[in-house]
Amino acid sequence: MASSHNAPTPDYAELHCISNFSFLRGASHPEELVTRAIELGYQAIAITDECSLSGVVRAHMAAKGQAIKLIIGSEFILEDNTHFVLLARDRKGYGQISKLITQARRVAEKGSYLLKRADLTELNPEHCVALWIPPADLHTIDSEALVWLNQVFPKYLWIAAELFLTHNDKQRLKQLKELSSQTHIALCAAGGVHMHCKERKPLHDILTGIRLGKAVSELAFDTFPNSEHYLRPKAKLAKIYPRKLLQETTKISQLCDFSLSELRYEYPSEIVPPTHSAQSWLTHLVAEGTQRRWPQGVSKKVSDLIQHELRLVEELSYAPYFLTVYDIVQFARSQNILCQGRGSAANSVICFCLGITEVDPERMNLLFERFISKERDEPPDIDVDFEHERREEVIQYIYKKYGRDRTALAATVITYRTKSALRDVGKALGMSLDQVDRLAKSVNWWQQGQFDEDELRGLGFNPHSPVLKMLLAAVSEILGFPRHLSQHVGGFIISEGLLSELVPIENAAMPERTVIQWEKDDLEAIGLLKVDVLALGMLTAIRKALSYINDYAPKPIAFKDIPAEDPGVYEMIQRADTVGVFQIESRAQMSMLPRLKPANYYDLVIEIAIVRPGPIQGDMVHPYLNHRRNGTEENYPSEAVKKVLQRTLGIPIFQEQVMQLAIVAASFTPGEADQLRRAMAAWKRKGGLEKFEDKLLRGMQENGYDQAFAQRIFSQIKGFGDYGFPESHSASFALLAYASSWLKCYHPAAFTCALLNSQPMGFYGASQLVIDAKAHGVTVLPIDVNKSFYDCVLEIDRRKKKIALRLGFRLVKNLSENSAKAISETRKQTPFSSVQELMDRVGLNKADLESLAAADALESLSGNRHRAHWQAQGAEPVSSTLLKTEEDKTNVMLRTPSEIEDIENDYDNVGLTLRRHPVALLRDYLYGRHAFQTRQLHDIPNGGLAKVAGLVIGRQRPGTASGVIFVTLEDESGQANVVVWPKIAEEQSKVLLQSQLLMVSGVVQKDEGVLHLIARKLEDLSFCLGELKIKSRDFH
Amino acid sequence: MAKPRLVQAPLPLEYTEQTPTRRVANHKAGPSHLWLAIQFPNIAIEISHPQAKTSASVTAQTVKGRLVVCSTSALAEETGIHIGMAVNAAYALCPGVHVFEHDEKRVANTMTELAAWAMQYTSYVSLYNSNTLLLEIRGSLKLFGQLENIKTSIKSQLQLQGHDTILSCTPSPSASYLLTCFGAEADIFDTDQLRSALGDIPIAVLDVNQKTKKRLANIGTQTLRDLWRLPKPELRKRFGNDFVLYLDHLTADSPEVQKKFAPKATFTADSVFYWGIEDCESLLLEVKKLVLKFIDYLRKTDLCTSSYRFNLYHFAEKDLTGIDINLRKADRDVDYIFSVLEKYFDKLQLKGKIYRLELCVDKLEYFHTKSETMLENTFHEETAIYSGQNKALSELIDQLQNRLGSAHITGIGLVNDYRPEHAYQFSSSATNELSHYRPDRPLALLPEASSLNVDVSLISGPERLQTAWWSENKINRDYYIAKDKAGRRLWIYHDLSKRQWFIHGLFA
Repeated sequence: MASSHNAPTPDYAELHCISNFSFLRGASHPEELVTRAIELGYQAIAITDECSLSGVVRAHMAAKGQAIKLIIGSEFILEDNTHFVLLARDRKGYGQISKLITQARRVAEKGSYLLKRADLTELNPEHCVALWIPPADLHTIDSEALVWLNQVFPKYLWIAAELFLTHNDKQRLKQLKELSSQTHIALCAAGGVHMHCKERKPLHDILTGIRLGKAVSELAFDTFPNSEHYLRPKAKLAKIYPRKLLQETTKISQLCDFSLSELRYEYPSEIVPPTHSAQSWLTHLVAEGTQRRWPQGVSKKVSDLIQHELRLVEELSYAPYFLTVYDIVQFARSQNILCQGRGSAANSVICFCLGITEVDPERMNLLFERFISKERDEPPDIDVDFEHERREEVIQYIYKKYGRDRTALAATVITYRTKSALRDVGKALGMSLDQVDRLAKSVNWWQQGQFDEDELRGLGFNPHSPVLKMLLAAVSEILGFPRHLSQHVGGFIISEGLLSELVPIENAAMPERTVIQWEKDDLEAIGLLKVDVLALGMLTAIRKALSYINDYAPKPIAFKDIPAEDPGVYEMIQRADTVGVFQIESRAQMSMLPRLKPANYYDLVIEIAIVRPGPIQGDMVHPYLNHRRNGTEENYPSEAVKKVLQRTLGIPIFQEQVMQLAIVAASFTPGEADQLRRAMAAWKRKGGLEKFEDKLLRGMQENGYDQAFAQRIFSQIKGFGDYGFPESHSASFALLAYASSWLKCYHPAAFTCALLNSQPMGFYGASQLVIDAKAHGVTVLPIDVNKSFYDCVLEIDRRKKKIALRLGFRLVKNLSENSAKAISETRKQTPFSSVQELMDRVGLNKADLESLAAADALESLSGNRHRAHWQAQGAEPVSSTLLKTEEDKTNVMLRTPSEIEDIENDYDNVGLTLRRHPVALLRDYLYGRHAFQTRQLHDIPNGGLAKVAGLVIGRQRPGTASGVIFVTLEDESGQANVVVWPKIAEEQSKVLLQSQLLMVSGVVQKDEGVLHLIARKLEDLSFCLGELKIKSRDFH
Repeated sequence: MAKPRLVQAPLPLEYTEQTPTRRVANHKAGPSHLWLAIQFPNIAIEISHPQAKTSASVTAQTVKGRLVVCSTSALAEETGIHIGMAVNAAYALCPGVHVFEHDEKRVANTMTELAAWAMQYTSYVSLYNSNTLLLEIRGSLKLFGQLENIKTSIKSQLQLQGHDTILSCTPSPSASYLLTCFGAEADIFDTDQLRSALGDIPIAVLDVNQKTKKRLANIGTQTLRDLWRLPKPELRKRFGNDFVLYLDHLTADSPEVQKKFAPKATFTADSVFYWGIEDCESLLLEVKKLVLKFIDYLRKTDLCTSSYRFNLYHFAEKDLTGIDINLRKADRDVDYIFSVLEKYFDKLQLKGKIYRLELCVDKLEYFHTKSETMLENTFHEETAIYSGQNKALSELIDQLQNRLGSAHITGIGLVNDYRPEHAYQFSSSATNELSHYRPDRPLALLPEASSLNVDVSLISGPERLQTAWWSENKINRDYYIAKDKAGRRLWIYHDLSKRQWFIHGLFA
């Protein structure tokens, strides 16, 4: 023993360590484990989550460049409870583990796995190290499992001795030593680590409680007796384990020589014809595209850009990536599915030539490094939006083309957020369901943020109670902990070989969908290709609108034929007449339009980007508007800066401008500038902007810029924070905003029809869309069983040259699509003359008939809603009578529905009414209360007092508006925008949040064509509405 | 001693149905029944707390994982709180609202008690639903003189008991109930008057399901009068036989069956003490009050019992002390019962404040049932724990427990807890569960760990125990087996938080 006191502490490699990606088992993030292991001077650490590699990329990033080896492995518990850990020795071993996880996960339900002994027989034992984890209970140690494992891994199997200062450590070690000498399988130390530091023990207990559905006080022996499952200092380990066992760990770690950096992504090969290389094929396609885009010949600027891009693409070998996306886009086009690339891809001329994006590089100031950068060494990210109703066709194409073993969706790690954390932790701490519920529900958009003591008291809690302190402490720790894997909205990963050997694949919640165990950031970090196949409702609406227009237009029109820069369209946009238009229809956008007055495409690009939290918080909006109004610009300290900022009058509005400024003024390389962009996006959460601050200020100083300018630029960068908007993104969106504006301006009926047929999407519901269409002179006809179809349609009277919009059955609540289609199909022969006949011929059931009656779609057969219901209720299916059913001719005394009843039922069953606006019915009463129509507000001078009442159709509390709530009221004359300051909102919160019909007294504020009513007094008039239910759209 | 009965009637274990014998055919002769509906609109609030009715209070229960309001006091209603609203929303409207658990079982028990109470007015009482009683009082009119006398008596007596009521009387049970729902206190003796009396009642109040109400609203009917205008065959076709029958019931055009209330063969009553009782003397007083209520019930129903179960609820509803008192023979003699109770409660030690006292009796017998010998009654099958060769032991334990009190005869059982001082428990029904028995732990723990003041040498350890951080009894210790100079083997620990050594147990 004496010798061990003098000997230096032996090196140690932790070989069994689970992170919080073993959901609800591990109590530390992978990064925390790696960082702590580095601090403790471990030689290596293995991340061995249970049947998962989800956390390894994060661990890999944390270990990158540090003095520690990261071993990749996984822990498994077989069906017969045999417990072992596999560690990858090399790339093949990694592939085997990944494949094994895939195999185990694919045969089980989402979130679980099933592994049998037989599943391991195909493994090549040379490529993995196996550690047998003996059971905790000494009595159940069964050498049979060990013998079997030894047959599978004859050369690289160890017995892991895990000692946790429990009563039987000594006996356990003795027993394992005996087993080792009997079987000639070496013994090694292992930590069975579940947390990086012992202070996480309470959180570990809470996680165990959540996993088992018990309160921590009920856990008894289900949790650990102490906190020894943490990363213990080497000196401490030396006291617990014999020296030899610790030395054995480093020996094992030396056997494992695999790093995630070795993963090489291989692009699918079928996208290149045999006679070409990927690069030559790409060059060929780009050349073709150039001819198509610029038939008159290409400018030198563009030609240089293309060469530059192709060179960089070749250097980084990204050609197959472009070809993969091109192939998908080509498929969509061949099927007439509208699609458009967006995001940083719009910075690329190659993408424009390939038809992936539509942003003309000559109209924009592109920054290719935002898209691909050499320093970043990350694959480019191309997001392609497809029509939301037809995206599935594209997804099926990808599956079919590359096969399910080579394609899967990226995962999204669902993590604990405040509400879910409060619920789960509260339950685990033994709080009653209603208490937990009360706490969790109060963290809604209204209260947003943290609790304060008064709030807690208001909820009936004592803020000083120990349980509450434990709760809040545990909640803040558990925030961000992964809870389960879900599927990414549309990020596909496609590989040349078996994907399961690259990353494990598991089942998603949707049948027939599979997800890999890594999410977007992991893929980016490892450098794997991801193609984003996203869904966009507006593309569906635009395609539909164009097809309706082609039904009556003399000349067919396609998306590309929409005339550019039409002054009429911009005039409409400047009036903020943009209900239904893509992106610029929100309340905030509509308030900005009359001020910014977009007059061309680039103004739209700015409009979209400027109404964002980034520019607002960075205080860029007012300076920009001032310059625009006065025709002035900022003073530029240099020509180079002027070149960057001139297009936005000297105010940096886009992310790209910040990057360019860093390049031209502070001598950043494009790659460094991109790192700056990333740091900007994350600094509020993680910090890390400081190192750029020095570099930026120093660089600008060296280039002769004064301190004040440099500081101003840096503070603007900070203000941008998370929310800076890329110009390229805005440019793609502006195209759709313009196209939808053109449709609204010149074809309002077709546009509204398309929007109605693409719901749910956008900012406004069917009711507001129809009201707006009517205001634009569109004739809207009610749903009629003898005239409507499933979709809303245009009724074209060619003789009178009139177009009307007929509402479709899709708006009828509770009517199935099949029934609706059967009605229009059956009606082709001859129209229906009675409700009974409708039932007989179409084979509808009573519920369908009653849904139609409720929607007033039977009015042409029955006269009114009450009679329609009576007849629908009395109709009998043919099968229930021997003879042909007789029409119910009984003349019963039924009341005619009142107008308000009809309106109520319209809203209730169709979601909109074509009758009078409900507020119109109350107009006399409202005049009696001295309330104006919303339209009359424009007649009141700025600063004048006014009172209006209307249905609350929206409440917004933007994060940037420091507690101000914006309410949109609607009456028969239009809409009013009400601003409620925090003080009023607080004082009158009940009325503000609960009113359906709200009367507001306040002061009229007019500014550059934008009218607001600043609320002073609110009054709930909902009682006037009776049964009418209007659903407000409340946004954060 | 009363005469023994030769033929014993079956015990009234269940409700029984009774169909009126005569169909109401001849209106001129007057209806055979007259139904008085007594609705208790605020019963749930009234029994939740003595002050609930006079403050803004609600009762609430969890529905689909959401705590929703089930009943409201008038003051709560004034603030905008309504039934079906989430409790959170209620707090938003009235932060000071008192929320009580909606205890359906207690409501049902109270209604049963009230039904039994109402039997003093007629033998035909029906427990119509969770807040309404129906009394057939045609036969009682003679006895009480006139309807008004009955109503006044009922109203005033119930008011004394703290209950709000709405009373309506018609020849149709459904109509009487419907009128109370509408808030109308009508007296209708003649079936011919029913139509006009009910005509204005809105469809929304009808005792039919929501779907039917919605469908009736869909055809534009608003009141019963609208419905009566529609041909019955057409209504039957659309709304079914049951609905048309219901309409006929309302107008007494069709006879209606009412379940007749019969006192149950079990008895449950309780008292709530919001201030909490902590001494046996006060508790005994409350126990006696309950027992008197029970004896009164026994007398009215001609029953008796030999076994009493008292549940003493502490602060948390699940935390209760149960007391079983078994008499040698079934009895209802107050003095005798009181004397037994006094002896028992005299030696009782309360483990905390009592907030609710419940008396449950589920074995009721007819008063003159056969007596059992003392020997036969000593052992109940239910209390026998062991069987076979342990029977004699169990009998001995039972006997001792009955004589000395169950708290004095206990065994030791192991509990799944890492903390040594919580790893065992005394209980009257100690089991032989020893699977977690640890030979490395001493059989005897000191009642309280004491500071280690002697020199010891460590034999084995440490065994680290760090748990129960969520409670006041959290521990953070390293345990060792040690030997002192006298050769005693000690179980000691080092408290890692206090950095002190303690002795916790001695090995044999």
